[in-house]
Amino acid sequence: MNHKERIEKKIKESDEFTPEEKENLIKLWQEIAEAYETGGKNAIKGLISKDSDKIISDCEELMKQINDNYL
Amino acid sequence: MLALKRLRIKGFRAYTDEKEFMFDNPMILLFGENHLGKSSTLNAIEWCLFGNKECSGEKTGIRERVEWIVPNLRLNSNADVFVELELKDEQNQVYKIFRKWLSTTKDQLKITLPDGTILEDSEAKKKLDSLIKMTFKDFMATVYQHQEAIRAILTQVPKDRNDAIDRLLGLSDYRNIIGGIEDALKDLKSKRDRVDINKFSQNIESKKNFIEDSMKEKKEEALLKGIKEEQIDETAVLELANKEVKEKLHKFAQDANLQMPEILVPDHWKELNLFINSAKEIINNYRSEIPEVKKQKELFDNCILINNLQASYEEADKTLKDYKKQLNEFIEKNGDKTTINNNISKIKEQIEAKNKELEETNAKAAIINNAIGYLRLEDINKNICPVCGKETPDLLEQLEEEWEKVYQDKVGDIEKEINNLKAELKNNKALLEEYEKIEQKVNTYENLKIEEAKKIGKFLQREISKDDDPVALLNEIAISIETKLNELKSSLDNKQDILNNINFALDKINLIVELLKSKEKRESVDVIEESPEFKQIQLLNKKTDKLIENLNSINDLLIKVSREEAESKISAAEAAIDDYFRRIANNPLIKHIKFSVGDSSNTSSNYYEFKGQNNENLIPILSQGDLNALALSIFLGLTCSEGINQPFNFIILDDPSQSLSSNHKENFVDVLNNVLENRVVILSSMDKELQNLLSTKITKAKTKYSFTNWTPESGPEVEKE
Repeated sequence: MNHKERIEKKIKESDEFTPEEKENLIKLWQEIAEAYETGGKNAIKGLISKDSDKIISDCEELMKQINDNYL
Repeated sequence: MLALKRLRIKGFRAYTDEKEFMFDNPMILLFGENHLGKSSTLNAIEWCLFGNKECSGEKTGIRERVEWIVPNLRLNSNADVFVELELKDEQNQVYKIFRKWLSTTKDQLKITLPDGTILEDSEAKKKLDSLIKMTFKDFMATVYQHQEAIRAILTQVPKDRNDAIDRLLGLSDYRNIIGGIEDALKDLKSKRDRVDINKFSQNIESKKNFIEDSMKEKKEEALLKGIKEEQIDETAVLELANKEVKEKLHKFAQDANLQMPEILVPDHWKELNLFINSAKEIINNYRSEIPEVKKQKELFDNCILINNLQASYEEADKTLKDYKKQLNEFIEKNGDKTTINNNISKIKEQIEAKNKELEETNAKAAIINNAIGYLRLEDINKNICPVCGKETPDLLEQLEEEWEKVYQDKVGDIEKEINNLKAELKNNKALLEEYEKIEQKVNTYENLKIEEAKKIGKFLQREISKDDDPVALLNEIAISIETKLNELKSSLDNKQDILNNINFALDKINLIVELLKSKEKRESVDVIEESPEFKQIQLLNKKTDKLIENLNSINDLLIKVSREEAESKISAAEAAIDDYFRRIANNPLIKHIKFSVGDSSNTSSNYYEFKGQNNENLIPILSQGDLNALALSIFLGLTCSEGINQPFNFIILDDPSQSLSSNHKENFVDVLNNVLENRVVILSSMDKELQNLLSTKITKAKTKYSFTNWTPESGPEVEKE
């Protein structure tokens, strides 16, 4: 069993997470494993920031809107 | 288990021509100096099994595999580059694995099954994976000990050594992914900080407090200005603008006979700023347009003029008096102009007389001097006068006496007198000049005084005679102006007060407008946290937090699984590792080595410890040779212990004796004899001492390949023994 399968198995067997959380964790793990397979360790940061950067910039935009409209 | 049977290599790395190797004995030795193709031979086995994608690049953890080049550089682009490996299973069935290099990202894979079936590409890969059931990482950990793996263990840097042991145990992927996630988390957390909702809420709270404080200040100011609470109202402030500003400005203009103001009270309080600015401008204009102001200015201008005329006249008069006084004093001391002129004439006459006397004296003195000179000549009668011929007794002595007593000094005296007279003349001329200067000044200021008097006359519009006192006349006018100014002041003050009151009303309106704005701002800030934007930020924050939580969960699992795997592998192999290490190192201080894994104090990675029989940390006391022995022991322990499942019956050791001492090498060879009971060993080395030991001490049958030379045209030259 390779590392990818091991971690998936651990998530499935864990009683710390709800079924929904497990599903999300497995999905995230698969994405991380895939990114690592393709681009090595550094690709993981790129994967995470791909989505999170959008969230952060949306937040910043909303904060700016609040500043402009209310403050 | 799969055994190696045959290896064919062409065009792969050091190889140009095709070469073949048979694995027909328990021990296969590749001997030769560096750069003759030994490592290329071993690399060919792993490349054939795993391909370029697995064997090259940074993720292999092998430095030399970064930008690894597979085809021999001497070959042209059409030349064949391939490796063929024959594997035999326990039923003696032979599988032929053929891999051909096509490009850096593509190679062609073919497997010929024992029944002759040929599988290609994805089917071939699937079959190969099912045959060998092993990842490349595991292969490097338990089948092929790369020389870099040994070197990495030898380092004194704990982090690097732990990394190397993780690689040896096949756990480097965990380490790398954990590192990658930790980097991602660090980055994410710092970005998350920028949009933290709690900090943002704190900012909003600060803003609220600021507005409150500002309102409180303004209310206090409003109170001081007499603004009532009910006036701080949108309607009341417009009413105030109308009654206290617009209406009052209209009345003022009417009373003062000025142009009516063009000003309108706006419909909304937010537009009052413009109204205030217009009103202030009108007030400023009115201040300068009030008739009393103009009149006052006129009178002030006259005052200034009077002062200037007075000052100029008095200045001229004073200066004239001073010069007149100076002239009188001069005359008293030196006489007037006539007297001085007379003195000058007299002195000139005296100088003339003296000059004449000098001339006569000079002439006579010359005659006497010449006569004396003549009479002093030899053979001349000293008593006969050379001029008149008269004989006079002792004439020469007489003349000499006369010369000495009278003429010798007389000329000098006359000249002295003349010089004295000249000095006196110069002095008198200077006096005359000075007199004339003072006299001229007196005339100038007399004229100036007359001119100033005329100016006063012009201002007063009348003639100023000698009997008039211009200054007194000016004073009279000045008093009259002052009276008029006092009369104007009262009326003017009254009007300025009206304008000041309107201005004050404008200030009140301005303050009320600011208070209304602040109130509006505060109401706006109060509802921010109910706004859709704020709620959206909260949601996005939650999303990010969830992502961080998930990443942490995965990271924790990775650490746990990596730890468990390490523990499991060490547990399965620790007895063998202990045995091999004690036998190879043969260090009398170390009776037992306990290999364990724990947490690092400053990272989440595996931290490996080697402790002795007294639970002491062994790393600081192990020599380089002992560390080399340790690396070999870990590898041999993992690969040969019963607890580890192995698809292959062989192991590959690439330059295993890097730092081993002679004793270590002997012990190692002894250990290899044990290993050879269960495994085929393929060993590559340039170490002559080890070569001798292997040749003489290994009891199993050996096939020896000697790499004697390498040429660019034909690649390695290999002799089989």
